[in-house]
Amino acid sequence: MRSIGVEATLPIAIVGHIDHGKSTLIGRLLYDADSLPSCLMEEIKQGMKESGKPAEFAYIMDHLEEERMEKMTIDTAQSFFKTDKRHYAIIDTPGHVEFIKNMITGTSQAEAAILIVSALEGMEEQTKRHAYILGMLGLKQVILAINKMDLVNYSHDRFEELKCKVSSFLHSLEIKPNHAIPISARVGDNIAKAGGNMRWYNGPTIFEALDKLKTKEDSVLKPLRFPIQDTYILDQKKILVGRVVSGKAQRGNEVLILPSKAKTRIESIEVYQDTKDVAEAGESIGIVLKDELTLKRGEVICDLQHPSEIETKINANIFWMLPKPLQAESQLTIRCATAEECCHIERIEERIDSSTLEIIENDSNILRETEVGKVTISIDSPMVFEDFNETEELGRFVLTRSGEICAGGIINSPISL
Amino acid sequence: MERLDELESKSIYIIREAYYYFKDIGALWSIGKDSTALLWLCRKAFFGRIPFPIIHIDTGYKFSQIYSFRDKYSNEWELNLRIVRNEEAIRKGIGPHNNDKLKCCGELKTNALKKLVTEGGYKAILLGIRRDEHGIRAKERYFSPRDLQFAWDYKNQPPELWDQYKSESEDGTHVRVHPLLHWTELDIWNYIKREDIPFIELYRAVDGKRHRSIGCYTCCEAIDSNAKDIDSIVAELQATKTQERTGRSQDKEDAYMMQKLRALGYM
Amino acid sequence: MFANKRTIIIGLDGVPYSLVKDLSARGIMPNMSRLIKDGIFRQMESSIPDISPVAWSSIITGNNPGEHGIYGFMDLVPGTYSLYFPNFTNLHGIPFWNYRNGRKSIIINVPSTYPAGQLNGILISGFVAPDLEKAVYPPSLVNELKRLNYHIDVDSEKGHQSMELFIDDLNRTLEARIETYRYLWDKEDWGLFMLVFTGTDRLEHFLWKAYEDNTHPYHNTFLKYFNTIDEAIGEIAWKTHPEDSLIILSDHGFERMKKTIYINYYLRKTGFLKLKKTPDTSYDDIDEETRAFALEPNRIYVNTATKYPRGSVKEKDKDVIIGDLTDAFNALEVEGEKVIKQVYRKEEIYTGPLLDRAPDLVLISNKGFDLKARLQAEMLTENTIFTGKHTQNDAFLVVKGSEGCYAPENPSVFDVFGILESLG
Repeated sequence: MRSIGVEATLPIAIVGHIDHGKSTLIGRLLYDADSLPSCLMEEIKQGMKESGKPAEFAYIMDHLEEERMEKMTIDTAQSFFKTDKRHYAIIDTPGHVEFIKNMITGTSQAEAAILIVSALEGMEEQTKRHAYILGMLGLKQVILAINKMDLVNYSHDRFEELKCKVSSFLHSLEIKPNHAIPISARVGDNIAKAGGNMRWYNGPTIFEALDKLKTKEDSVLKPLRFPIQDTYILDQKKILVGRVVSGKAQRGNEVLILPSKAKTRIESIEVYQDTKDVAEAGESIGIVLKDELTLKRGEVICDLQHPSEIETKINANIFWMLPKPLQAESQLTIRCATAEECCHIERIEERIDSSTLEIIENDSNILRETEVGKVTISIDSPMVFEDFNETEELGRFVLTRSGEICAGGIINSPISL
Repeated sequence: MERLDELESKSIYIIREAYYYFKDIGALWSIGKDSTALLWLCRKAFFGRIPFPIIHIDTGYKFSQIYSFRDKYSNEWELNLRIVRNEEAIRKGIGPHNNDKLKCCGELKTNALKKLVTEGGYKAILLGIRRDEHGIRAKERYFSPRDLQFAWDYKNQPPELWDQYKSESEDGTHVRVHPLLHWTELDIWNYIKREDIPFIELYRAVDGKRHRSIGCYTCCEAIDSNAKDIDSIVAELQATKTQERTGRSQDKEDAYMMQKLRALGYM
Repeated sequence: MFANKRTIIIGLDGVPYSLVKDLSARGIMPNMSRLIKDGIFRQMESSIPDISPVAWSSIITGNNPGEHGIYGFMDLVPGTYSLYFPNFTNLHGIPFWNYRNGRKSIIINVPSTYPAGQLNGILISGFVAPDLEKAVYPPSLVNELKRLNYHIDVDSEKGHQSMELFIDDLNRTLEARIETYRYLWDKEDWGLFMLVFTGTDRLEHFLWKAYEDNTHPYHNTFLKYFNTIDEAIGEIAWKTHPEDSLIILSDHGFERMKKTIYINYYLRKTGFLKLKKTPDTSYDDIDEETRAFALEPNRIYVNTATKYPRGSVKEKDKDVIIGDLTDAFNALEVEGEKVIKQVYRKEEIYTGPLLDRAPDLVLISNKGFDLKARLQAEMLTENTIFTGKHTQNDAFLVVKGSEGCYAPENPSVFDVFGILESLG
């Protein structure tokens, strides 16, 4: 049994168009889950009593001053809350298009997302772009929340209309929302409690829908993948450090190392002041191999029976995040797990508007900020890749320039050697 | 995988990434529970031999227990310890008196660190901050660049995708690396308990008071508590919802107000 | 009646009636001069105390401090000696923009409206507002303001470092404020537009002397600043439609400062106030023997046993103490001049449910004496860097309506609310 406090936390991203109520929903979730500092809870309760109006949750959440770390203003938000079932960490994602890379950063850490759409304003540009990004990041658990129902008179028709519209857009991205829930974050309908104002709705509340989500699947049963992160020499022992991405590393097991294709055995598994017989997916460990091999960071230690693929060319969808556009043929660095190689974009087959999903141009030679490109990437030296659905960590990659990430992508199909 | 194992593995991964990419790095050790946990993780990441300096910023206003704790464990753990003080500011008499705590922090902490980073040529600094300790931390990255003026342009941070981080820093700038960003206060205590990491006595209750966060004695207030051992601390945290930093008297919004009003002659 | 009739309010923080009259006549404020002729121009009484948080809170709610609860920049948490800074959330009463149904209100830089709350329209809080992100409604506007280089207030700390830097910041803040008003003017369809310039007050604090002394190195800088403000007023007046109403007003007046007088020091010397320690004193150091203490700038509180943790004055003795205090203040002289013009008891100037939180006495000084509480003061008087100080009786009001506009003969800041209502 896990004791309280050590159970798994589910990171969720809350995404959607600006002013559709993300901050209000976050404030409301924290308030309803009784997860705000107690003095603040009191203040809010008192305020609501005095004014007879719901609290302005958006303000509880949105605050940040451009000051140095040591000079920051006090504020009160916490982004963790807890239901009867588990702990949640809310990942704050800004709704403005300028901050799309912050949104992507946040969402890439999430295991599920709530996509919030205002019943008043309907689907807007960032709604679609954020939905696209959820798809691009391979996020499969999505709750659709139609917010501000109080402002449309709790209209059932409006809810159905929007639900239908947004869902069909999500389907085109191969996202099937787990639930579509009509809410008023401001008033608190269908967040923790079923909304008395929407008798026509009998689905789950946000809390109930969250508790139905699944935590990350165990990848222990898959074949071993151990990307080498670094080599440390300690007492003449060469230790390959890294984190097991999938499967189990087991002392004595035969392994194949890719792309160098060397074959050897695991001599020992090292951790601080100890050794282990087995290390499972997720563990940061050190491996000592039987044979003295010259290996570099980025190579992947694989199960000998079920090795990975190595490629020098891949087809992928990438999302460009820099203000400076990508020019076809320009030199970049591709990083997948710990591997890093020079590459160039051989072809931009389609240039896609990430908010409408319309193809702007075929066979383009440019990709601008927030645009999606269906591209072919040619890599200078072979790298290990896998199907994203098989091993996420080896099916996704980033492109960098001067050490800074400028695009992220998921592999459509490796073009085998 | 157990939650603590998961947290630990991710942090070790980040520490190793920081070292791989930047080499010229250091870790800040305030002697508080978080940075001591960070130090512990560094020891685990490098099998007991941390290949970079551990930096302690000494304002001269630290609790005396901090110094003895620091010296004891830096010996025992064979740390390459660097102590930094802004001697010039201390000579000038800058301190937490005169009702100007912002200036005090700025000079004795920020500027001391600034000096160290510039003179020591550090490319990256490891810090033990967590997302849950303060609202503003929610926007931090694991690898968070600071510019030449040490400013944090939080709106223009480079993206971070999955386990891929910013891997270079331009001349004169440095990257702050936060391997504990995803931990909570409770996680830290659970981990300290599990790993039996030593912690400073100030966290234990004496006469109904204990410290929940530790900085300079002039700006730290003890909270009401009877938690004398780690189990009671964990139990107390599970029951409480007040913020960790409420114990720090440097209520910064008020400090800001006072500063502005004073500039107009009020107060 | 006009369906599209709008109301525009321009606030000039701390600008006295006498200055408006003077600069209009001298051609420094030609637009103002024209508006004064076309509309109603009155000298206006400020609130007591005559400081921005109190005066503006009164202007926007029509209430007196006994009702709206804002007595100063800071106050004591009831039942304690802990200071806090009352803000918009502590204001009781509803600002006039919440009464306007249907059309949007754009409210820029009204002091003491931080943090910004929800309204039908846009609100950018004024001084004191530590965090721009909390100072703007709707929040999505923050980025645009940053792009416009918007600053909530001039950094007055610069005035202590270098006058050049201060003036530079003053001008830049004004420029961005003007840019912001222009942007919002066209962006929305609104019924009420309110814009307050606060740089005027900051300038007057530091450089009132430069206004009066035409050989002062910053004399022209001072006049130029008011000229720029006048241009902005002209631009706004030009943009208004014939059916719109325009109000221009200030929250208090200003005059030349002779000396700063520290009230708490005087209370110490006369035995009313006893502190447990000096220096580095805070209100928590008030000793049990204390009979009265002052809060900024001129508020006097009797240390009663019923209200304060170390209060020692019994209710039955309160009146005697108030009498003694009044005598002591009336006796206060500096360089042969009487400092205090008037000692008000709270019942004389405040009414309402929050009367209980009011200071027991408030002081009004004679010309040129600037009263400051300053608990830490180690002297009675000081010549500070400031050359101007607030006045209570010399604010101004200009009203220009489309049809028969109304304003009392001797208006006060509490009347503005009613005037707005009459304009519809």
